[in-house]
Amino acid sequence: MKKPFLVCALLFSMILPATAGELHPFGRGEMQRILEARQGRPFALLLWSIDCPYCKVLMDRLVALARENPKLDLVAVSTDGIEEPQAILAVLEAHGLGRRATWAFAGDSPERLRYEIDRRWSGELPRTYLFDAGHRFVAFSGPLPETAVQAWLAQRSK
Amino acid sequence: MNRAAKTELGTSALFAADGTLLAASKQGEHVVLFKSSDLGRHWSSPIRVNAVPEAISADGENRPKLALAADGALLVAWTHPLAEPYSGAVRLARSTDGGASFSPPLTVHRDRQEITHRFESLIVGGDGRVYLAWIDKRDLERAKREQAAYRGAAIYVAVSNDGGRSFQPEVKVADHSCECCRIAAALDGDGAPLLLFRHVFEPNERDFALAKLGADGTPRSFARATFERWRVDGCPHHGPSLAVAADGTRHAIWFNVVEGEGKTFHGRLHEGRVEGQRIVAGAQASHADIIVGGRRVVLAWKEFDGERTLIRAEISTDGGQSFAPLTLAETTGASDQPRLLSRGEEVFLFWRSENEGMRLIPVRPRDVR
Repeated sequence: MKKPFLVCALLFSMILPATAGELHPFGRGEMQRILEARQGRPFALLLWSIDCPYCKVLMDRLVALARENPKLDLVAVSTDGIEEPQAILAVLEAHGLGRRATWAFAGDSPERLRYEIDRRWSGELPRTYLFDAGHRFVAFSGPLPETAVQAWLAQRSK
Repeated sequence: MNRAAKTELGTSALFAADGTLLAASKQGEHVVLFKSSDLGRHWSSPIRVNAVPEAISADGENRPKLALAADGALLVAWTHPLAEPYSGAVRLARSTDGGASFSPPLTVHRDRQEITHRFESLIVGGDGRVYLAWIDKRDLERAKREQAAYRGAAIYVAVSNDGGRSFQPEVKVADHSCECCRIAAALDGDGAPLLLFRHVFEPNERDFALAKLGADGTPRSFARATFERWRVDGCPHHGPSLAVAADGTRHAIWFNVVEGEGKTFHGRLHEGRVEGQRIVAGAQASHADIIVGGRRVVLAWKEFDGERTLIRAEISTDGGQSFAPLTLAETTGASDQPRLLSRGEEVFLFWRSENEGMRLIPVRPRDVR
């Protein structure tokens, strides 16, 4: 009787390799894995850092948006190194992301990790990507224009 | 999961009067000094600058700074982050024995609130005074308490009239600076310090501003220096660099985003306009440095090509009229920003990378390809 449950749990863990409430290393190839795990599904990608006050304003906006839209898949990646996770986790906790799976840059040059995300991004923060189901994206540095958010949300519900 | 201590690579280098190459970086809770008498082939073991351990900023746009005082003393400055988010204290230590030992560090500002005093920049004026400028949020914090609006942060400077032994009360250079881009400092033709820093022009245009300081640190002039009009409520993390030629020409290199894509620009700064502005590199280029050595003008920046981080450069031997491209170094791992040094006409790239360590690479016209 326990077997179906186990299979379910196993499947679930394969679909969601990142366990909720954990900080995962965003190293070489992680962007590809994030994309593959979300094949055919839209998601929002937020790049942020501890030292960026504007990032926290945007984080609050995205967390509010995720509350209004329970299916919204938010991938938050800290560009601070994962080697010192306490400060990252404190910000995540304070801004309502403490219980979500999140990521932090790890184990490689930030230039390479940025390149794997987007060759047109020069490291300015906050940086947000709104991916559609086909993984075409629009990118924003700084705050998210409300019109772009609404257009993305409307497209998702189609 | 790799949870080993992160290596913060931010390092500065300087030629001492006797030609010894000095480098300052961070090891744990110490600023450390290295010496090389053979142009970086061999380095001394690290010498601790601060005897008492304290937190030190040395990643991204942060690094300990080096300068030589008029009396020959070696000055080391750094940011000591405090417990509150974004907070820090600007620290300075002095050595009168060529870096063998240091005075206990002093905090250069009178304002002791646990707020932002970070991203310091150190320069010794033509008059021998020591100038330490930094990004300061006291005005923002006051505005917050009064529930008033305030754009960005501010630039403050403290001046020492005794070679860095003590500092006069700090003065404000400008309101509304950007929050976390390094400040560039260079001496103008008359020996007065120039500061080039990212500013927040109304309503949110993050262009650069140029300020010329008087002997007490107050700005004698302040003007917008660049005109890309990058409007962003965000953190660029891309400070500029500035070098002044013997004839007074102010060469600058800076990063801005135009139509959604980052670009590195070179130009000659005049009051309120840029002469000869051109795009040097694209979105993968960052953290450029510039230096003048006689008729030579050298630009260098980091650029990721998909596999390697390269240091690309341009060299001019005619005072900046024409430039030729060079690739100076590469690494496949993490690395610091490139720093250019000059010794008379000679120009060198100093670059620290995680895999290769500290390197000094001559930048010569004959290497152009």
